[in-house]
Amino acid sequence: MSELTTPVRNAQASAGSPWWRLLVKTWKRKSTPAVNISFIVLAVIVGLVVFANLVSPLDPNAINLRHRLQPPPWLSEAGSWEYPLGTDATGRDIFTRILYGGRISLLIGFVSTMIGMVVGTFLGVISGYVRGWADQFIMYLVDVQLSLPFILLAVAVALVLGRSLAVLIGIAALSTWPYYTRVVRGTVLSLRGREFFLAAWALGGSHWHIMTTHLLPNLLSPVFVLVTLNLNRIILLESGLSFLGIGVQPPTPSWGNMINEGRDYLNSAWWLAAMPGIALAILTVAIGTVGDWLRDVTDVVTQ
Amino acid sequence: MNQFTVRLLRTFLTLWGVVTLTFVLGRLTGDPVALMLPQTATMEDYARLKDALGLNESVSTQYIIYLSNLVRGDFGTSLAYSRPALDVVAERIPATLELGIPSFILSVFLSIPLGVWAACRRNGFTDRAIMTFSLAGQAMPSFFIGIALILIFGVSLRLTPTFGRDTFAHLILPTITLTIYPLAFLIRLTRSSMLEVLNETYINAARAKGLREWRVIFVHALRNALIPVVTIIGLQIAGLISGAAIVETVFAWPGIGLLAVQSIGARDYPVIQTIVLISAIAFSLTNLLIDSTYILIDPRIRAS
Repeated sequence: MSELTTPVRNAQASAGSPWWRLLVKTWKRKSTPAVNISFIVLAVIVGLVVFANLVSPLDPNAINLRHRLQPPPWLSEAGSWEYPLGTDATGRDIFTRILYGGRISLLIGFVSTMIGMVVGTFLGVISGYVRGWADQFIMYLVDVQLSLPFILLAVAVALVLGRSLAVLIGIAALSTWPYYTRVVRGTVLSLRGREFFLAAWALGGSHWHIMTTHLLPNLLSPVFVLVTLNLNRIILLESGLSFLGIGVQPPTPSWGNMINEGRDYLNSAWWLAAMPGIALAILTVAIGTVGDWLRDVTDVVTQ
Repeated sequence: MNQFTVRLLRTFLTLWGVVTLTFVLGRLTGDPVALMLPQTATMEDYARLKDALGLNESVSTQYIIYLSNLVRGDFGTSLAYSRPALDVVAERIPATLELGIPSFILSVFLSIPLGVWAACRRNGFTDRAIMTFSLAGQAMPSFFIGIALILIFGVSLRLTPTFGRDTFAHLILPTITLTIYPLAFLIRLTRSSMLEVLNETYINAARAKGLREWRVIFVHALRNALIPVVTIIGLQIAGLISGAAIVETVFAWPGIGLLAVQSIGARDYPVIQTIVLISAIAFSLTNLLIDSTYILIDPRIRAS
C-alpha cells in the first residue's frame, strides 16, 4: 500500500482565521454552478426533513387501507393531491414517509460521521505524532479493518448485538474511522518536517500546545473534506443495511427499508421503490458534488 | 529481512487479526449458546451444545481450540443446515464468482480507457460526460441501480429476466449493477492519476523528441499512471464482496452474499463468520500477490 501524504498549502495562513471564513472565501473564489445548485439542493432537503412535521400534516405511520397503492396524482388520474407521491401497500403517504425517513438517514449520517471523525482523527494524530509501537498498532488495526468486506462485518455485528438504532450508529461510525486515521497520520507526518513545527518544538512547546495550536488548525481542511465524503459513504451504508433488513427497523421509515418494501410491488406500483430511491440519489449526488469540489479546491489527497 | 518476507508476515498478522475479531464477536453476546439455539430449545439442549462447543473451558483455551480448528479447516457447523459451515459456504462460491469475475473484468477494462480518454480531453465535453457518470455511479446505491434496471429492462421493456440464476440472460442485470460502482470509482482514479503523470517532465521530453501523441499517452504516461490504479484495484475486491451481498439480495442470486443475508434471519453465526473469514483471506492473498508484483516490477519500491 502506498504511503498517504497530504500536501499542506498555506499552512500558516490558515492557522489564523476561523475555518468557516476560509470556507466562505474559497467558495466565493472557486464555486461552480454545479456546486451552487448542490448547496441549494442540500439546504432544501435539510429544511424539508428537519421541519417534516410542518411540511406534511400526515402521520408517516398512519395506515389507511382504503387508499392503498395509490399512484402519484401527476402520473395517473387515480391519484390524489393529498398524497403527492402516492401511497404504499398499507396506504401510508410516501411523501411523508420520505420526509421522516430522511430525518433518520441524516441523523444517523451526522452522528456517525462525527463519531468516526473524532475517533479516526484522534488515532491519526497519535499515530503520526507519537510514532513507535502506537503507530504500528494503529496502522495494523486500519489494515485489519480495510481487509474486511464491511457490509459482511456489519451483518455479523448486527446478528450478535441485535438491531437497534444505537448499534446501527456504532456500525456506521466504525466504517469510516480508518479513512481519517490514514489521511490525518499522513498530514501529521508531513507537518512534522516543517519549519514552524520544528521551531515550536525547539522552543520547548508542550505536546498539548503543539497539537492544539500547530497540528489541529492544519488538519481542518483535510478532515473537513473527508467528513463530506464519508457522510455520503455512511448514508449509503445505512440505506444499504436498512435495505438488507438489518438497519432501521419498520415501521420507522428509512429510505433503505422503504425501497426494500417497494421491491415486492415493482410490477404493480413501481413508485414505492422509485420515490425513496430518487430522494436518496438526489441527496448523495449533491453531497458528492460538494465533496469532490472541496477535495479539488483544497488539494487534499484522500485515496 | 527481505521485502517478500515482511509482506508475507504482515498478511498473516492481518489475517490473525481478522480471526481474533470474529472470535471476539462470537463471544460478545456473553452467551453464544443462547445465540445459536432456537427459541424452543430445552435446558438439556443448552447444556449439550455448551459442552460440544467447548464453552466450559477458559476463554484462552477456547481461543486456542478455535484457532486450531480453523487451521484444520473446521469453521464450525452451520445451525441452519446442520452441516459444516465451510461446505455450505463453498457451495455458494461459484455463483458469486459468476457475477464477481465478469464485473471485475468489465470494470477494469472499461475504466482505464474511459479514464485516459477523460484525462486527455480535460474539461472538454467528453471529460464532463464521463465524470458525471462517474459521480452518479458512486453516489447512487447499488440496490437502487439494480431495482431501476429491473424496472426498465425487466418490467417495462421485458428484455431480460429479473431474478434467479437459470440462463445466461440472468447474468446481465446483476453484473451491470455490480460493475457500476467499481467502474465509476476506477475511472476517476485513472483520470486523476493520468493528469498527474501528464504534468511530469518526462512527458514533455517524450513530446519534445517528436513522438506521436498516442505513443506518449499509452506508452510513456499510462504505464506510470497505472501503478496507483493497480493498487486500488486490489482493494476493490473487498468492495466487490460487499457489493455482492446487496446485488445478490436484489436479484435473488444464490451466492455467498445472499447466504450471509439469509443467515441473519436464521441467526447462523458460524456461516457468517466463515464468509467473513473466507473473503478476508481472498482479499489478503490478492493484495499480497499485487504487492509482490510491485516489488518485482517497480525499481522505486524495490529500492526503498
